[in-house]
Amino acid sequence: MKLIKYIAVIVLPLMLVMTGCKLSAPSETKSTASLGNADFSVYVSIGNSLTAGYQSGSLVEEHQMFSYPYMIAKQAGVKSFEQPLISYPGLTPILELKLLDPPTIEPATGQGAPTNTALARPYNNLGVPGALLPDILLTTSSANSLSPGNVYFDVILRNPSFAPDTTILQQALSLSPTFITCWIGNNDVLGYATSGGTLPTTPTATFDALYQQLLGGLSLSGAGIVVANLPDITAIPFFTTIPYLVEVPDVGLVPLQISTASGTKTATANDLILLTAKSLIGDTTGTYGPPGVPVGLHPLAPLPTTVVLDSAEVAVAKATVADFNTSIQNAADALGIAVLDVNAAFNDIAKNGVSVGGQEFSADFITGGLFSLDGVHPSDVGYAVVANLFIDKINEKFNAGIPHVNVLEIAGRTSIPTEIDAAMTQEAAQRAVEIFTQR
Amino acid sequence: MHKRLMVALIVLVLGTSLALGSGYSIYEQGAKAMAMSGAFTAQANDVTAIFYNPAGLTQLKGFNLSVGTTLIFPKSAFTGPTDIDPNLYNELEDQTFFPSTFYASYQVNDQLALGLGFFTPFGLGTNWGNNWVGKHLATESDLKTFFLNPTVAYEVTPGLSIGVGLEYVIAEITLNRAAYFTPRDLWGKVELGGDDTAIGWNAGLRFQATDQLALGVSYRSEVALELDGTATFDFPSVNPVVNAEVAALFPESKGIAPLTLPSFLAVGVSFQPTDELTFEVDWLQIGWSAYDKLSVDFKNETAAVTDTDSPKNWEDSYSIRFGVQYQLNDDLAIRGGVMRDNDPAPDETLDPILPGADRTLFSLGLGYTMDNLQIDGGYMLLLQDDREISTSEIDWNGKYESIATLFAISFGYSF
Repeated sequence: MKLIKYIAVIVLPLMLVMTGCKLSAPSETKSTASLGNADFSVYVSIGNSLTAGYQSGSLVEEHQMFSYPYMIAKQAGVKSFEQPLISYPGLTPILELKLLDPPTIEPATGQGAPTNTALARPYNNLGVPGALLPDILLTTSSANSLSPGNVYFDVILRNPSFAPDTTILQQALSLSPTFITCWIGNNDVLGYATSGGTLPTTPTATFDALYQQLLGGLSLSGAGIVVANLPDITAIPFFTTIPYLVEVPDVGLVPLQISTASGTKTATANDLILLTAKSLIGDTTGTYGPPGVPVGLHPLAPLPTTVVLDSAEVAVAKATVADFNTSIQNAADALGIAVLDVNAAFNDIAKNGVSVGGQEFSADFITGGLFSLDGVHPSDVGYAVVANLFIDKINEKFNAGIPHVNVLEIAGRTSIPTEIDAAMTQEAAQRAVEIFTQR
Repeated sequence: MHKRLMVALIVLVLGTSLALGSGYSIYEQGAKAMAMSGAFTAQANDVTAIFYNPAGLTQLKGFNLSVGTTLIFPKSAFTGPTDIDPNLYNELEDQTFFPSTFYASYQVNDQLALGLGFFTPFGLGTNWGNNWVGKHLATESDLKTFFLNPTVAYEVTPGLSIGVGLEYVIAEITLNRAAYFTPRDLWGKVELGGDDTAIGWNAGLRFQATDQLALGVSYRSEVALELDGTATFDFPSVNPVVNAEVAALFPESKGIAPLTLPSFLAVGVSFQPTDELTFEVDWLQIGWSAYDKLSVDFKNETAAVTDTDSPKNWEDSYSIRFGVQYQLNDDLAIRGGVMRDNDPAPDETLDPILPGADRTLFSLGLGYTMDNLQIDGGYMLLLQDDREISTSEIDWNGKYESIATLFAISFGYSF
């Protein structure tokens, strides 16, 4: 009997202890959105290709599902966020990486078509690829846009479906939005830069006036608004990938010869060679200079000015971005609207990359993970990073708790064609090795 | 009597607030010692003395054999990482471990005893699954060690014994994680596996100062391993071009990873106020500062497979252990203990491979003697402090929570 008593003293507490020694999972195993003072009943996004979710030279459903507004909407629990979806391979067919090195990037074959055309109201995502700031306020179709022939205005605005013809701003307001994000102005300087300084920027005074007008119009809705300023576009892969020095056999590294507004000159580190120069360098067909003279390597055949943003043009682009950002800040401040400083965020990303839970991504072309194959637009992962920047700003301004997009879940979602030209396979291995060793 | 014992235990529990290591060590290598939370360096009065203090072997008569095992049921969770979702709850997949032991000793004469031990004082196993948020850091990790420890003990003068041993160590490690092939936006798996054998040594001293009081000191050397192994990569088959790129960039690669198993230094004092009652207090230092980095040196580096060198900067860990035994009658003894230790991994380098934190252990057990047969059973509850990381150098901030239960049983035979 005594033994039983002793065992009871030990076994009973032991059983009690054991029942209490399980880790209990919390009732919520991830964050749920709290919206604070933000009202996401009707969320509308305004902007250009960046807002549309354009990447790798195309607007296509597979990637529109990772547009930053769509991801914000999902994180905020928005029930209905309609986009002008376009079937694979997009209106202009999406660029695909056929070979890793040399980067062989080719458009997919075929053409996609709009699929969400029956929606009897404007889309929530009113990002129109190619749109300039004036287009937001004035354009109703490709015919009267600042980039005539840009069919995205027709596909997205669908005039005259909502007669009379309406602009992006008017369609946005007609939805009676309760929340608006707006990221516009990039193309007003990007066109200048990607054309090697041959196309004009939007005049600063015009930008300033129109931006005030835009925000004035948006604020009439009474919606919560967050706007984003403009990144330093000269830090995107389109301008940073091609070095100004080229390796010439038996000679070594030689600076490129470039054509500028003030004549032909030898490139320096301050001149940016555009991604579009890639296929031109060393060309001897005579298309860009005297036949037999390698383009870019001889003063008689300099790289054309359209594929070079020389140091003077870089300065213009940077100054223009700075001016536009001042206009954006001033216009927003006047109305108490929050400004997301994409410029500062992207400067940091261009310099340091992004670490998400310890997984590293960078702004390097192809190998960095943040940019798509056109060298201008973000990848799905890059757009997720943008969405999180917006979410941080919304949370801060509206005292909300919208959870971040899990960037690591976005990585690894690109579908890769399973059918491929068999002849490329052999080269692929050898060259894949080289692209990393070059870096 | 039992009431007073319980009170004493409770007082101990509440009174222990030392912020004191654990790492991937397993100090539970005998059911009797475990029941007293490892406070056994001074007593060292069964054949598990080969592990806890080889000098203790001179107390044992004739032949002594023991086989035992400890069932370990750990549970861990990580909430985070904060930069993705501070509330994302990830639970370690359930695993059971059963480090097992075999001990034998023979008393040659009144002064000299010989022994042989087999045990596994280091090991870890964590499996977070292949698709969890930290897959790029760790999916499944596993370290196994096996120690074969021949031992000699000698009683120098009555009451004063010394013991020394040699260790033959076999170690095997597997570290699996996910790898991201950025240009193709493709996730694959990396499996890093390696093994090595090495030699170490140990020594102990035990002094029976009076009938009541005994002292023990035990030391186990560092063991330097050069884990020799292979990294293999496994990416899903996509198309011939991508498959060829993967094969060229991620070939099977041979590599070497040096890893030093730390030293143990234990000091204990036991006090036996009555014939029935024994108390012991032990202090244990584990030399984790030897683990300053985890580096892998690949024999053939490729563009994507490069040598790694991750700083760990662990610190030595310290534990204070308290154990008590009460001999109810000639056959039955009851035991209890409590221990507190500190985790050797600093916040900056803590990773999900080993989700450690400072710990408190409580233990209980029984010993039953039946003629030549000795059966010992023990139960241990390991309560790990919740650990909030905000200064991670690997960008892995969040909260770790862990708990473990252990059951030990051993069968001894003496003749």
